[in-house]
Amino acid sequence: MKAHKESDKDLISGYMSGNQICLEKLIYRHKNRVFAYILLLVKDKQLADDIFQDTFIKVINTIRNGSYQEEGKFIQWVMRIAHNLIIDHFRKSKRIPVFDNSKDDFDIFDTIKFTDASIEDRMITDQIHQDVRKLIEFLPPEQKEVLFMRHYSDMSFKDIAEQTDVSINTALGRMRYALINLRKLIEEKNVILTT
Amino acid sequence: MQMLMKQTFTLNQLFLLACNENEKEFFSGMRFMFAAKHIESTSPSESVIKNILNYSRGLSILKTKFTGNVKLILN
Repeated sequence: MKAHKESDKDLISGYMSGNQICLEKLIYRHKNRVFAYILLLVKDKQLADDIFQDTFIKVINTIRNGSYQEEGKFIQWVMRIAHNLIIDHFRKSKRIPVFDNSKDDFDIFDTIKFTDASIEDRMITDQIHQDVRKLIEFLPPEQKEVLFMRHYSDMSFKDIAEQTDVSINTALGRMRYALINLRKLIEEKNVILTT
Repeated sequence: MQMLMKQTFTLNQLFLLACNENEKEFFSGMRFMFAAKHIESTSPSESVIKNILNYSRGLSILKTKFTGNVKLILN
């Protein structure tokens, strides 16, 4: 005797009337197809598991809310939910770049400091700032002026140009030469500016 | 130098295939498009399915007149 296979529609109405087995049957019927689609696009098993779970949570919420409209297109609807969740994931991951730590030996956490600077670190930083200040004194006055306005007064180049009565390009040029000259001075005077 | 296109289909075409074809056609299309040999045998972890079913069992939705539907999830 051929076993009667319930349609998606029957299973949904069974689930709506409280039969959990119907949901289980629906999931097992379509799991491979939905999962394969997600996995081929995201290419990560764990992530595909998460998106698969979110997809069916949405399906459950919609059906139980009574917002699901039966049009005989259950799988198409589930695929649309999965598809939208995949797109949401890519949008989110583009907005929040994540450093992939799993591919090589480099560990980002080796280079990040989690604790506050120690007294020694602070003393070294203060010393560096003092050295830089001294070096700036060797610069020509117009370069020194631009550098102070930009870095210590946090002014925009537009404001600096207005204040010093020159064009923006001149202000930018002065800043560029100030940095070049500072680098030269650091080399000449053998100053070490690292912690 | 000859540059080959990485993919010759759009996301939309892929979606249409996923939605409209039957399961057999869908998997043969996927195998062809992604050169993924055993894609039909991949399935989500059992724990994920268990989570979904548990969520469904624990969920109860209270329909109210003024505040809409209130979702309750009980362990």
